[in-house]
Amino acid sequence: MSALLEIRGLSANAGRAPILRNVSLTVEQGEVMALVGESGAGKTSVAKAILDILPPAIRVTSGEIVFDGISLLSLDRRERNNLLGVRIALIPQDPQTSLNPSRRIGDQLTDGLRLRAGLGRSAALARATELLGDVHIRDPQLVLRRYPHELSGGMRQRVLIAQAFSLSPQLIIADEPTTALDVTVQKQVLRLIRQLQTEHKTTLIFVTHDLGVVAQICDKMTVLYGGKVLEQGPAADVLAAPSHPYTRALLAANPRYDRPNQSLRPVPADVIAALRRELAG
Amino acid sequence: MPRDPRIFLGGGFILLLLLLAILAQFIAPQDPLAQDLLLTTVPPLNEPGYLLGTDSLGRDILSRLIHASRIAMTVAFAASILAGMLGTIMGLAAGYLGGWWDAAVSRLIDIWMAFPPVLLSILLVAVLGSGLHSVIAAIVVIDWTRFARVVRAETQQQSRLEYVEAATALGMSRSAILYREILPNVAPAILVLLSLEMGIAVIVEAILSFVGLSVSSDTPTWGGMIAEGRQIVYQAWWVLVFPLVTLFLTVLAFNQLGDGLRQWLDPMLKR
Repeated sequence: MSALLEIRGLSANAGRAPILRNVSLTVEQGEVMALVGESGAGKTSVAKAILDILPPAIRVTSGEIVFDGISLLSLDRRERNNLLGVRIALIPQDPQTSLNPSRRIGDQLTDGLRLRAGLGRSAALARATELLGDVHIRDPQLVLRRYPHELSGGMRQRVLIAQAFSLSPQLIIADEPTTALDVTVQKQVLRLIRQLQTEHKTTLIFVTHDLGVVAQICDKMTVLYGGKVLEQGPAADVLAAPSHPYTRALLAANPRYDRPNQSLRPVPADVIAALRRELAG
Repeated sequence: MPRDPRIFLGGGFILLLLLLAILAQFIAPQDPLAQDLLLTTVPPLNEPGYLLGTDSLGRDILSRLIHASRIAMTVAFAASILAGMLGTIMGLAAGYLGGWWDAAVSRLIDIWMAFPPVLLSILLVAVLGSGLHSVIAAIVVIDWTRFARVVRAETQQQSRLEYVEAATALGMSRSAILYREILPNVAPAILVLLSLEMGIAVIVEAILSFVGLSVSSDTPTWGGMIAEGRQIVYQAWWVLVFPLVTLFLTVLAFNQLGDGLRQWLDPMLKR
């Protein structure tokens, strides 16, 4: 196995506030890497930095992102556009707002196939039908003619997943793809992403705050806090024996349905204080 | 389907006017230019064939109104569509590209809005010379800002939404995102503005022909008829009132259509 994506010493600021601090991580070909952390930890910023869709207020100050030998941060817009969607794709966070409300599903799903893969209209529609079948949507012909508001959240997320996989990219970044869904649908969507990932041998970066998800589908994990990498390693090892006190506290804070009487445990104040010192120092 | 009566009444009246304008020479009972000095200032419903009476030169008012709708409709549609196109392009560029583009277009709009529009249009036509093309050009030059302002704000709002980010992450080019993703979501606002702008264009054309800066005086226009009627309003009120009422109803129809469309197209206003 070789590294498909390598991030070296990535730092980013919003004004004077640091968003990412010297983040380094390596994702091997075919691997599922989890980016874990609480809100504001910088996990989504790492994902957006790879795709160069960081909000304008956030600027990358130093570091390198190398994808398959290509330095992503030094590409011009045209070169990047040639890469995005075709070799690197995104499964966005919120299925409610990530589809264009005024265009039919079929039009949106065939954009990439027509503009990027150069398929004709009917070929693209046929392929889109297949893609919707792959994400277990019944009656794909009908769904292609629908507008986003006519579909459920789970359906829309499936459409977005189909869109991400449509051009068989090598790397897919899933930005909390299950956060906006209810629990029963979450499980199906996770299973679907895992299944497609295995079939296509796609490398996957999975941004999440749900440690249960990490345990289910991820090979490796990176724990972030305040824009800094605290811990990295094989998911099973980190989950079984976390070395950083914050990771330990995070795991302990996860509610356990098998122990319903146990009260919720927030991350202890002294752990947070130690983290603050670590970030400041 | 829209159920709002304003859309049907407003749209119906406009459609009727369009038909009258296109088929003017078949529908108008008289030649709009034919003078009959034995039948001057005939009151309405007084002489067969002269339903709305005649003016001071004995010309049939109804026929003149029908023929004048050609100028009004031409100006309304041509000027609004051209102003809409110019304003939409400027607004889309300013709202989506931001930065330098946005600053330039926004300042330009600010400067434009500081001029009194009627004065500016009179000035422009005086410089360009009178005629139909000048009237249309003047309206386009003045009123593109109405579209640019709204389209810019809408585009800015849409650009921040996640579907645009998702499209960017799919590697769509900026022009493809503007045309395929953002424009369809801005289009309803443009449609509403177009309808309202047509009403404004009709008024501006009437003002310009009232002061004699529109088409030459041998072509009937509503504004020109109002100007002629004003001089003899104490002797023959109908010469003034009928073109006034026609103008009023036309503008009202465009505005009602626009308001109806706005409510129908905006999901937030729907009950």
